[in-house]
Amino acid sequence: MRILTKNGNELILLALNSEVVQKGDYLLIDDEKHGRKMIIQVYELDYLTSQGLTEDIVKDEIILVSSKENLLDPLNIGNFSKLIRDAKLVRTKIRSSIDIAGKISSNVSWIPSRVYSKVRKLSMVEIGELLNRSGNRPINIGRDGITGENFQIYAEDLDGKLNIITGKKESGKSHLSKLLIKSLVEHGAYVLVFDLNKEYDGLAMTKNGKPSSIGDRTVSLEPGGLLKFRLEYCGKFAISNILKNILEMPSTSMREFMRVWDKLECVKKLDMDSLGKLINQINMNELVREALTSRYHLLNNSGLFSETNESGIEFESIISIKSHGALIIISLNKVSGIIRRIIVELVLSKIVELLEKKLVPPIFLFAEEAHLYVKETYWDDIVTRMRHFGIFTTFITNQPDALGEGVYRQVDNIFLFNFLNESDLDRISKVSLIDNDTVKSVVKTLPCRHCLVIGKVVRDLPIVTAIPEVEAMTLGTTKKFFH
Amino acid sequence: MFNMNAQLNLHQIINVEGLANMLKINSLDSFLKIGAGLRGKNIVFTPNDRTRVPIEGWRKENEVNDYPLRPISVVSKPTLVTGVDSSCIKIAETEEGTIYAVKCGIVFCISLEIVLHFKIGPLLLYLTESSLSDSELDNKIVKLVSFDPDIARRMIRINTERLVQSELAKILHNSLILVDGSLKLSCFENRNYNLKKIIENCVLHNNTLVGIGKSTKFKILDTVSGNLRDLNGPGILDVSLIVKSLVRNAIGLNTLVKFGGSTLLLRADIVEKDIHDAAAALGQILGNDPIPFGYPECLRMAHHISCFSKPDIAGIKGHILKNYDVVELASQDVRTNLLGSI
Repeated sequence: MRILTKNGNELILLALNSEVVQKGDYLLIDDEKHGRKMIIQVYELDYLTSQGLTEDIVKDEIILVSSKENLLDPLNIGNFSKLIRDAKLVRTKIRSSIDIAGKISSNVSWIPSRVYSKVRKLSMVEIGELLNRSGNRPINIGRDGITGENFQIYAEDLDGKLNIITGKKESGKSHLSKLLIKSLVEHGAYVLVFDLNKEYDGLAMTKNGKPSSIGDRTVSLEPGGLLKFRLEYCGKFAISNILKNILEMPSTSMREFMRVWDKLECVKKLDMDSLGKLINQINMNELVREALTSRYHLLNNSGLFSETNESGIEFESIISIKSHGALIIISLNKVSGIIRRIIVELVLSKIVELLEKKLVPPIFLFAEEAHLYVKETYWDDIVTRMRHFGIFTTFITNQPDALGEGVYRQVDNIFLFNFLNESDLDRISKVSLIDNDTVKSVVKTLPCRHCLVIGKVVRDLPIVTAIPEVEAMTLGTTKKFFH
Repeated sequence: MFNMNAQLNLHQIINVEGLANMLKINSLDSFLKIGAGLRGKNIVFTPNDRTRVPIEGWRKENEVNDYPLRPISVVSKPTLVTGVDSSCIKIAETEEGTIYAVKCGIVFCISLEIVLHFKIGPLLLYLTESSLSDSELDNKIVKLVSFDPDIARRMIRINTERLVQSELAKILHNSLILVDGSLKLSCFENRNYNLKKIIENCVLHNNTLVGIGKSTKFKILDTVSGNLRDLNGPGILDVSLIVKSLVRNAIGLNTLVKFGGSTLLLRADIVEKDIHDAAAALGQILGNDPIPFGYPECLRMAHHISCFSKPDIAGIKGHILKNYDVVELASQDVRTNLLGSI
């Protein structure tokens, strides 16, 4: 490959057909004469085109279709001209340079020699080394498309970070999230998943139905089943948050509810049965009573609260039992939208409370299609506030515009899968941490299960990887009529 | 002091009138008076030094219409029509000689369809004084070829085409072999496969050799072509008398040909004994070659096949650099460098 031109932070190289590069590949320009090295990334591939060349190709094609060709080319010069016709322009972005100490530097205020520079492809291993990352908990998130080399990120780089996994439908988002979840739990982390399609339960099993490496650390909680809380455990703060934020209870009614709650707390009878009875018996305005009763029935029928005060889950108990990490799956597939919102509000409020009291360690939260169960403004709150308590969120969505600007402004890592829709690409390219050209060109042509990783996990050098298979049972596939 | 004065008064010593007087006694004097001779004449400008011909011909007055004219009838009997063309370019120079590349295209038509084509080359030729001296070329021609690339290219093209025509003349039977340009003996003819031998083989195998030129430099032919131009269909006009009086080594029946009702007139030299046979041969071309623009398709395609493309030239350079252990020197375009632009 040879350097042809430079335009802004773009370098255009000339490559012959034998030099195979793909979008997303990293190349090293070694300016031997001046002893400097530059790292560039391929973002677009074009044919070397000139009017004359195009005319020649058209002319040859016309001649070829007109009649059968017999070629006498004893010097085999035709092969050379075929090479020229197949020559490609490799459009790249300058990412960084390598200083004399061999470390990545942001100093790209020089340009390499066109005459003395040698260009070669950087292997995944070399890129990994250049990134100079440190961590003891590697997560293998892919391999290079051509050479099959592994590429790892470190669980430490997801710790305390906000991540987004986005891409069009069936591009491999859930696949990556499962991989990350499994790896995090294997490394001893606690992961909470809001599962819309009941697909994460499969992580507990291998493909042949045996328990997986995290089988004994997986807890699946389903509303009406194991996901049942004691009212006392939920606490006044969490329940009042549900009434206020989800069930939109007016402030007058809220005051009466607090009075009812306090009375029950005094007599140590905080259960759903007693709550319902007291709302009916206590002296209050009949309109307020009606408002409280209707909300009570909704909560009671949600199946989220135990009738008596004896049974119910406690997150801190689960975490204390699973001392080497746990995956807590909250299934949201069988419940209505309002119950979903109640569950999410309740779970997050409780987790925040437990984190504040330091009763549980920090938790990784994976929220699939978050816009379906929480308002946009609420997620803004989650990413700004809850991060400090120790909830590190990963959003998984196929609608990049469903997440607010606030989320994108604070994002640390983006895992971008294929997008074809221009408006989605526009949205992503505006908020992503790299240039528009790379996002639009690379993401548009990403094959299924390939993703562009941007952010702190790759030290801001965007990298394309092919996500490997997850050794887990596939659940949550779309039901079909013909299969 | 005298020199200084002379320099300062240069415009007095050499003035414009003096220069004009110098031109009057020059041999160019007679050509410089263009006004009288040029006034009222038809004119065709020739941009980039390229030959252009007037669509309606040169002259309308003094037309002579007593040359034999025959319409051409289409002969639908399937006959193989073959077109041969070549091109040659200068590729590089060394201390001792020049490297040329040649390409040749051969196209076969039958029953109005192109059925097969051959692409030969690019082949490389290294012409040095010693290699030329070893050839059978005359010493004077060797000098010419050594010093003039145009002549060298012509020599290479003629020899390449003759070689191919010679083989075709031997292999084919009852066919037509079309070549680009008029048929005339060249000083570059090779002893083994010269035009005479090709014609001999054509006669032996019942082939017809036809040389077709896209234009002629003999403007006089325009004055006799009025009838052919006006003919509402394909036709042939025998102009052998004129051509043979102007060209010493012209071969065959020298004609002007039109392949369609309103197509351009072409010069055609046909190796046939009379205009009747020539018209029949051209009828076979009409019946077997599509002739899309009044010019045989096999020749048109052979031309395109033999043309050098930019990738061809780059490929040749790559081949030479890779295979012959040559050292490429930095070079410059002397004319551009010295003359530049204002």
